[in-house]
Amino acid sequence: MGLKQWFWPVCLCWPGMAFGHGATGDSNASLQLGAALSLNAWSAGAADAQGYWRIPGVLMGGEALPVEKGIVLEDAVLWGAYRINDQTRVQAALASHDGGVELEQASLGYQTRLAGQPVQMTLGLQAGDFTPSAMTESGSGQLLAGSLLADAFWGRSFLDTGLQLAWEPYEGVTLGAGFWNGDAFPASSGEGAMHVQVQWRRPVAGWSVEAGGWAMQARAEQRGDARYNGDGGHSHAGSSAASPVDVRFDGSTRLGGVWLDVASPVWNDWRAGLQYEAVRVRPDGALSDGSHVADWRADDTGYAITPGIRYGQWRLDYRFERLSLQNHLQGAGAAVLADESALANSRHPKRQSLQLQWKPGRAWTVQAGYTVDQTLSGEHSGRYGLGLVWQDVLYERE
Amino acid sequence: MRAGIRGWYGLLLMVFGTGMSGCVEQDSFTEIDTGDVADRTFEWNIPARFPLPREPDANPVTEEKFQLGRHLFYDQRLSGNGTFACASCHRQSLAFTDGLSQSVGSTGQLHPRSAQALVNVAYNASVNWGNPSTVSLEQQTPIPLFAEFPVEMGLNDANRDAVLARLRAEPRYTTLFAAAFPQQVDPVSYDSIVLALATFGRGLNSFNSPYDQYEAGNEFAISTEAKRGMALFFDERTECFHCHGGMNFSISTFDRTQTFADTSFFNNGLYNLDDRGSYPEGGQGIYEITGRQGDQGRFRPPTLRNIALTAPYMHDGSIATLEDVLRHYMAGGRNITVGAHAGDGRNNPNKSGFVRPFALDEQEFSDLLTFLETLTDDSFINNPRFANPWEG
Amino acid sequence: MSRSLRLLVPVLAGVVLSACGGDDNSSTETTLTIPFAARAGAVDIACGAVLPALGTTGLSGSIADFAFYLHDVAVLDRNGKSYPVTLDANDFQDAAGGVALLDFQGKTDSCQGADKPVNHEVTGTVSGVKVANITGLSFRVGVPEALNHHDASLSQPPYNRSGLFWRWQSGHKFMRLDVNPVGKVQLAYDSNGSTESNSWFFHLGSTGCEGDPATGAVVSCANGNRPAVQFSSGFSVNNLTGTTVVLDYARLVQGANLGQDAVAPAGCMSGLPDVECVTLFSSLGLPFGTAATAAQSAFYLAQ
Repeated sequence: MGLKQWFWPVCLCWPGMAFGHGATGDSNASLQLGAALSLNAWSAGAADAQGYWRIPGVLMGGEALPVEKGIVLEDAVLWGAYRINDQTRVQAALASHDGGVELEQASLGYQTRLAGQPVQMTLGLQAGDFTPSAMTESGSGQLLAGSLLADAFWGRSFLDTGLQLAWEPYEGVTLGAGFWNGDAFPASSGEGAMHVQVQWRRPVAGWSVEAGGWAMQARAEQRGDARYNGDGGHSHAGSSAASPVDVRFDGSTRLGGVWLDVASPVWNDWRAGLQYEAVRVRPDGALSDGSHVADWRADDTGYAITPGIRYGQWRLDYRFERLSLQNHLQGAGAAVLADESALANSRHPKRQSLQLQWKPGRAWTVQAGYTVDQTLSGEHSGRYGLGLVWQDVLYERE
Repeated sequence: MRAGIRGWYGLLLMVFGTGMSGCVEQDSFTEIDTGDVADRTFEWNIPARFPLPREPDANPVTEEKFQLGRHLFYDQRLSGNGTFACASCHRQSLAFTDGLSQSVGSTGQLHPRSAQALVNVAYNASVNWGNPSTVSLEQQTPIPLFAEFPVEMGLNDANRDAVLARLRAEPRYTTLFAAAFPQQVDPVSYDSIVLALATFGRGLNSFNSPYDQYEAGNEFAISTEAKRGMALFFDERTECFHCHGGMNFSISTFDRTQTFADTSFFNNGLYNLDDRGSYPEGGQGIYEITGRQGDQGRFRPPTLRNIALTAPYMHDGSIATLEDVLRHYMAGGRNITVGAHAGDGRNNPNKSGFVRPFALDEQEFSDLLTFLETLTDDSFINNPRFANPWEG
Repeated sequence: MSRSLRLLVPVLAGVVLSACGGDDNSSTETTLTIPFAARAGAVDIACGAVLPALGTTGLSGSIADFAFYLHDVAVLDRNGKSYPVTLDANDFQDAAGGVALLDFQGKTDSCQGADKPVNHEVTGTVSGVKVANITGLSFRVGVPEALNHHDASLSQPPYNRSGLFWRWQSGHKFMRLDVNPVGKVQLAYDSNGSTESNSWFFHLGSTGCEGDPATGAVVSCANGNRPAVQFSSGFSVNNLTGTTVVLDYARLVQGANLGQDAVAPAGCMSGLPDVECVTLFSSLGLPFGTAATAAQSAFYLAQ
């Protein structure tokens, strides 16, 4: 795993989104409160006939739930940021996904200097900062269809309790690291994860260029698919049972990736952009379902490429996402477990999306898109989607 | 500007070129290595999609042992008085049981149990109605042969040599024993008999019922009523699948891909003699082995495959029909109001939590029965491979 | 040779020889036969013998079956050190496993059938101890755990006595002492349509056994039920034959009423709910349920 595997395409790009629901770091306000709401409507759902979304060949989990047909309140977030002093800030967010309100983020940030250069430390429940798609959720307005890489490999969003560090030794270059408890997929609670990353944000001849690379290691013990089984999940083993069998993973997962976000200079209100992200994931450990065990290691890669153009408040993006999944199972229970955990696969799951976005003001975003989803085997029909996002700062005080 | 645009165009080309090739075009595949777990040189009668049962190291299955076992199974000379064969209590047409509520031995003694159907017994995690220590067919086979309380096949120290002499006198056995145990100088021994009979039992597998055909993809193999019944069977309302679930319709099943076996025993509220949960003498479940009061009435859940053929039901055959079995579970147990075994099984303190009362309307009752009937495998009861080799 | 030297040689030889002969427990090996007797009081047990004064009601009876297994046979010296006896290989002994079968039933079919061989002794060799220093004997009743649940024991002596199979409980019966009392055994329950039993059974074996389907074998038994018998003194070896060890059936059942049975089966088959087992287990020095363990009294050394 290393950056050498992926070439460094210099390209046309799109400026990155403001990440997450938190306040922007540049604000001078001492207290900020804000909210975000996201409403989606889809003409069809992404799940299979039994209502489950398990991409063959990859062990999913976390919160990677499939889009549903109809109108859904995808996200409702209330966030606040309070600056205690010049260096210290606290940040919290309450969120509601699929009913039920929970504390999604609560962290303390501290800024200081290391070798003369600024370093930011954030401690608490927060989003992982290692790659753009780890921080954005479909509700934040970037892409209606979400990120397939995030869904497949880290359960859509990476929210965990831990310590993140970001140090900027040179203008535009950030080195970061994170030490996590393991609540976020692909780790399991208490087992821990850690990541390192490097980001580069510097304009080049009028072009906005942002790029980064990262690597992570996560450990898991008895990790199940929290979407359908969770802990103490009641699984109905039986050839007619629809509910997925509760297969657990013990072992470690190594992940790594590169990403690139390039945007051209503006020319008569026109701008072109390209985003590229590639991830490689290698789990290594054992699978068990209570009465079978097998050794499992996998080598999965995925990439997403999103060219787009922007004109004024309008934006058109085309995204292509593709996964290559190689699995090796060994042991007496290998065939049974491959079947139960949907790891038997010989396809490349992929997805293509076309999206038109209009941002009439600071707070509102309207999206319309069309997705051809070939993540599950079977017929591939397209689905239409509409999205409405509102996010704003409700209250600000110096 | 021109140079800028040309430069831009060139960069664009490079981007897409490298971007596409940079993502190394990898195959997607899943490689599964199960070792020799799926070896099928023996005719198991088990379709490929099901995992194979275990084979003990000391008694690997061979076709020769199977055929020898089959001959012994149907041979009355194997009993003390020469009138009884294994097949006397295990008849193929009834899925290898005998239709009696309690079986009768070769000398006329009544057995406290109903003969179990020999269906997929190779997968049995434990092999008796109520015994956590008999976990292999090799442990089970000598029991009916040598048992004294009651006498079943009636072999004992007095007649065991005479019985072997009968077998030695049969020319077919000379060939069969020699083929099954080629390394032994004198293969006609009780050890060989047990290994051969156990191998025969291991080969009696039934996975070709209309239900199986439906599961294999034939939408029309079972009726709509049966499909509704199937949904009821796998439902939390009836909880049937909790004890009778899985590919073998019994959770006390163990195949060779598994590392852990579920030797489960459940009390389903048949009796409650003293309000402490006691069952009648001779039919107390694993209590007879463990001596723990909490184990009174706990028995192994048998497979439901071919269940329509194996009446009467329960360890002592005390429930006559499948309809009555359903009514028993719908009531959450059996309340006996008169007689020596009076007691309300519904209140048995050791009763499994899965045996709770539930209601079914007439249509649902009928649908569930229809589903259970789809588990009857005609090819199993008519398979000449399992039939009596001494006849014709 | 000078005179003094001629005296010296035998003296030296004596010293040297005694030094060689010397240590108490150098490499000596002795064949040994330990005779066993089964009696009820003063009467020797055999098919047809009438055994008087059995149990609390003093009934007479005759045996239907009488055999038991032993293992871990060892002799003891006066310091209490034990020396294992290596058993000979014969039809009643498993030399490799150290298990012997003592069988007092001379006829098959519960003493009603044809004659059959009996075995009243344990033969073997013991090394490392001088015969004169042997003062004690120890053994355990039964088949050791490691051998008790093996397959392929149906044909190999001494395990191939079908009457001692205990497959239902998995393994072998360690003792099978069945006696038919005069007046039969009156049962307090219905057994297959009858309230009487011809025999008062005593079947000793391991109970509470559980199997492991992964190995296809029994893996553990809650109650081993292998009585340990030890005589620290009173055992001596003369002419390669040890003191006779007596199993006194009358002492074994002295606390039991052979004419009645309250809990099935008739007599005691080692099952925990069987109250008739309490006194028998006590005579053998075995724990039974919550009853206090006494010292064994069923075996003694003949004078």
